[in-house]
Amino acid sequence: MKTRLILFIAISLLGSMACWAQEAKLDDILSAYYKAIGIEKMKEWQTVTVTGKTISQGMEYPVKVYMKRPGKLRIEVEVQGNRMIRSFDGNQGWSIVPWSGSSDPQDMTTDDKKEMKSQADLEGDLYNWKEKGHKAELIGKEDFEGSAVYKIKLTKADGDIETWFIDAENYVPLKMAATVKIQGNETESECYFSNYSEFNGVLMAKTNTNKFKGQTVSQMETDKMEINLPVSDSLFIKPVKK
Amino acid sequence: MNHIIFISMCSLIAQTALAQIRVDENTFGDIKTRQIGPATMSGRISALDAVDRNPAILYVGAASGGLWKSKNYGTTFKPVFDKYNQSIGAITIDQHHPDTVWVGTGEVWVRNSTSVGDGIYKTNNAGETWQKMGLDKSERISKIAIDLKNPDIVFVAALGNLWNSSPERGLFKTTDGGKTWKKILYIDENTGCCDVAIDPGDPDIMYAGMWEFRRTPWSFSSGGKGSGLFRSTDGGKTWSKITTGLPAGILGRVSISISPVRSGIVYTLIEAEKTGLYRSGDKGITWNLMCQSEAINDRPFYFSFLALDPVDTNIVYKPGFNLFKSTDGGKTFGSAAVEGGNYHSDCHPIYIGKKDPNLLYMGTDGGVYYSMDKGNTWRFMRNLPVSQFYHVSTDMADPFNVYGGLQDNGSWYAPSRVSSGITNSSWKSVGFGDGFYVYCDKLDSTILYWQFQGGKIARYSLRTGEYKSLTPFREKEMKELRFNWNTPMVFSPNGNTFYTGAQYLYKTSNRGDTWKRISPDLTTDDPKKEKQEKSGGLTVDNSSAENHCTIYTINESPFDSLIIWAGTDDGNLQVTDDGGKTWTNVVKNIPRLPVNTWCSYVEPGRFDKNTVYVTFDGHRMGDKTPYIFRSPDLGKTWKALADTSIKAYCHIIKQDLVNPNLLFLGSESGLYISLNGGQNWACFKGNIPKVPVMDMVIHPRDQSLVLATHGRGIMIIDDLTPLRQLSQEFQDADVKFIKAKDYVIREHSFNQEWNGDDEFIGQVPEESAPILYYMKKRHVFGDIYIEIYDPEGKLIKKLPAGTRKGINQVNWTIRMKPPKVPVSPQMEGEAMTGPNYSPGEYTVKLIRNNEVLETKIRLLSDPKSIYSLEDREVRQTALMKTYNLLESLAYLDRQAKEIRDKATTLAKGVPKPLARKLTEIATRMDTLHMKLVSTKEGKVTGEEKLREKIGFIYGSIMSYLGRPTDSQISGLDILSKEVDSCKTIANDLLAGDLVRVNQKLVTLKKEEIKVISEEAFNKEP
Repeated sequence: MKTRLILFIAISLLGSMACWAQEAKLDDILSAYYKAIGIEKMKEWQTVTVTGKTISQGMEYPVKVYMKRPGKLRIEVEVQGNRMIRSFDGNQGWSIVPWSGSSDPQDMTTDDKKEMKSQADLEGDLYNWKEKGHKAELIGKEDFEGSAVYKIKLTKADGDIETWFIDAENYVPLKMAATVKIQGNETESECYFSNYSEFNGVLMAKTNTNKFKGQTVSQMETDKMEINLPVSDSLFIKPVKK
Repeated sequence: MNHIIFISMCSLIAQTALAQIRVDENTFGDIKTRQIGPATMSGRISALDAVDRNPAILYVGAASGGLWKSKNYGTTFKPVFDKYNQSIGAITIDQHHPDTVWVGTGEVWVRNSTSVGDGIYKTNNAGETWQKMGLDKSERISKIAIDLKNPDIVFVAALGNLWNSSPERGLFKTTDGGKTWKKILYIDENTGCCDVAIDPGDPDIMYAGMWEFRRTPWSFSSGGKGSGLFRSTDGGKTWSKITTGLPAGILGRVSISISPVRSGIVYTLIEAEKTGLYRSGDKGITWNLMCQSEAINDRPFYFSFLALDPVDTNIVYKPGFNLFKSTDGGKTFGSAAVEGGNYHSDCHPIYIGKKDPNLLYMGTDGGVYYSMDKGNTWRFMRNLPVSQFYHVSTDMADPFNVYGGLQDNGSWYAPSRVSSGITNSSWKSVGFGDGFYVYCDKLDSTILYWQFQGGKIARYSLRTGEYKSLTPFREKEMKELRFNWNTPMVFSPNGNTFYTGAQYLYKTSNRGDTWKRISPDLTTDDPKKEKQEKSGGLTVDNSSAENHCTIYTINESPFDSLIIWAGTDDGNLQVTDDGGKTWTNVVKNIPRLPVNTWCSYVEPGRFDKNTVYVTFDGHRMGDKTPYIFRSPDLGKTWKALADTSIKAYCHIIKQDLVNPNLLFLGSESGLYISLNGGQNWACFKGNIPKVPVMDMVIHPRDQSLVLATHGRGIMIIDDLTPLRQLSQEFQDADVKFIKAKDYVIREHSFNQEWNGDDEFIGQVPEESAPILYYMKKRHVFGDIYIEIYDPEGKLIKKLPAGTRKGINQVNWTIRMKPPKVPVSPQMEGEAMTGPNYSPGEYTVKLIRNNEVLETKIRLLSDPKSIYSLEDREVRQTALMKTYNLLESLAYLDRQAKEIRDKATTLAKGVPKPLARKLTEIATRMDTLHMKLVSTKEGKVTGEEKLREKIGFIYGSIMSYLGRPTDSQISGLDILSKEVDSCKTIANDLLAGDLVRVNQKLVTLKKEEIKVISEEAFNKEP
């Protein structure tokens, strides 16, 4: 970790010098970001199992997340001993909300699948944006709560927009503002990333804070992140209705 | 007296210790204002435009409250321009590329209280981001016209400066999308371009309205040789003034509108000695007078807008005091509203639906309305909190009420906090006209005082709803009284007396029934500036808005009621130290202050009776310099306090009640704060745009700063204590706790309303205890979190920590985790939250990598709780009993289900007698489980078992901070016994049959039936 921190300082200094010398270019910023978080190491990850909690209005709910390449994701949130499940196998998605009146799995809407697909992308939407059919542009450099950030606008292939705020000193994302179409309506939200910690050689934000209209609506805290544990494909397959 | 000496010493110490603290825009971090509206009367709307193809997309420009966008016909709005100038003059959507929108800043309805703009802006992504496109010194932009074929060609009508001559005015053209501009029509430094129109059928034909106008602090003049209607036939290269068919002589404001149906038909509204509406049927070559009625004559400087129906060439809308409509091509006008018409008077911009001309959006002095029947009936958009307060006050109710008066919207008050949100209906109206100062009597909270323009003061009874006019009249053989538009009415900090000022200062000690004059004329009494009856120019306009040589600001020293300060609009600053017997004009002692600069506020020092802070505002004479001064010796010597960070003229300065170096400055462009007595300032950006801050009050009990903004309603910084503590010590430390105010656990109200999505709801404080710390720099790498320990030292909570630079605020919802409940297909909604932690001192630790910082936070019972301590203790005991009962029920159910499931599984692989026993045990446990908790799936099962019954009592006790009902307590006892009897069933099984079954299972080398221990169960998340 210490070595990595020294590396960040070095990157930061280099970054500052580069700023003086010339306008930062999108590719340079993204490369520095990938290098800073150690994205190459992430490519060795086949599965990720996250244990944590989500906090909303002062209440905490245990959360378990399973991710598996390519593009599989299952999220379980426990409320009063019941598990709400959202699962996506790369193509199909389903959910079980036990307190909704039925414990049968329900098919996800196209919008939900779109969101799950985005979340299942381990490296994130920005990485290899061209190959993914997205369009990225560097909007500029500005102040974000006392930190200089590069603002990158990513227009995704499906039309949704993500604006990334990359710390100009450490080259990690501090915030992402999303404009997403749900049920044909555009809706905006923000996610703040903090508590960057190393997991198997990769820096990940342990705390994700979700905001809507400037107000915090929930926070996701990672307690444990286990890499390459066996994760069965059956977790992502829709169970048969009772 | 000792108290005063102590405060003075504190002040000296603090001044020495804090003198070096410098602030920047990130110092204040998470400290934010809370915007409470209101939107019930909204505010003045200066411009609007909608997308012709999809008029659900609507942009609304407020006179001083920014730019708002709706994508659903106004059901909801979002401010999209908060980083920029908040005074909007013109909005034009490029209808061929509707994501491109041009916005010109600077209101063009140039009343006395209008704000100022700073140029033109453009978005290419429907308001997501904006680019400044120049014309920075145009001050006001009245119209933007986009070439129909080439969107990079744009014409901008720049009205220019209102209060002084300026060269950046006239008609501008860009051919490169705003990168460069060329002035293509210019008369002189006093004449602006007030309108421009391009013939949609022949873009070489253009029209421009030129207007010579000027305000001074004491007059308004509309009209001059520069005014006129101009026409170009070569796309704006050359222009000629049209005179044929139009009135001769001096002209005033001009408005132009081309028929969208037939571009040969053009209307122009021209202010003249006899203001009239003219129509041309031949592309502006010849003109015919159509009408000179009252509809056309309404205040031409304020109502100069025409809107033409996109289908019927004979329908013309003319906004004025009301909306008029002609159906005969402008010959006659009547009210557009026949069956309705309950909208705010003073109508400005109108948009007519191009696909459906029944749709009208209309901006008024009181918000936006829309009509679906061509103006016959109207709906109000209840969600634009662009209210324009002049002043604010508070009372000592708990929660305190906020009082204030608004531009053209009377006087109002509302509670500063309502559990379910401050809605439009939370605001109560108490006055009419333009509202200014509003107060609650200090001794009788059923008495309020309010004002309307020109010094009209009223005392209002909340008991009867009637009011008594209190305005002082002149004494014999004295001059007529001159009251400012915004006449001061100020309470003494030392009693229930209050002051008002004309050119003389008046004081009352009996609620306004008797006034005592305590000064001579304190103004310059310049006869040249007292001719308001002639004000207006072509059209006399004497509304008291130009009244001059008047007292504008008054304040009495909190230390000495004999020291009274009065500042005048003509630049005097007067002080008396003998209660008004003798007065000294000290303004001449202020260095580098231009003569006759309007004194906008005087703030006697709160820590030293000789100290005074004062702001001056010269913008009405074209001087936008921020003038802030402090005198330590009753005005003999002065020090200038403005620094280069302050970008606008100033309305008010306030000194904090506790930290003498903490100063708040209300400017035309936002709130500024200094922590070092004014040596340096930073713009406060916490949830407040660059809106005019006209008045402020610090609540002495709640330590809140309440702001009267002229464009975004009332805003509150709930707790100033973090700002008071910031010292150099904080700025030197990497991270340091700020002592949080004790957190009072309050009762909260409940109400159920389903008002739709179209109403603004004012923010309320979070129901959580704030944990505050200052960080020198953002924390990015490694752990940072907060731990909270109860008074016994037990860790009770771990919270994510804030990581930003400056002040961080983490909100601790002071609730225990919710009780565990038996698992069921039904959510037990009553048990979704845990009880509050008890009052007491809790330890807070901030863990940042390997560093641990510690502080304390105190939770207090509400000292004003209506419930006795005994009742609250009975409630807490009953609540925890219910909580524990639910948890033990959850464990019992877990035991029952584990035994049931294991017995069922084991029964499949053992000899029949044992299998039968196992099955019988499973059945017993299933029966027990069914008794404990609802088990049916479905949305409305109505099933109630022990879990649901106990849950209901838990929820009932939770929702009320007083004593539970006897029935709840006795019901709890009954349910507790039922749980005990269920426990007995399980315990009997565990101690009896299950022991015997397990012995047999061991013999058969099968797994014994064991259940989770209660300790292990409790540790599960």
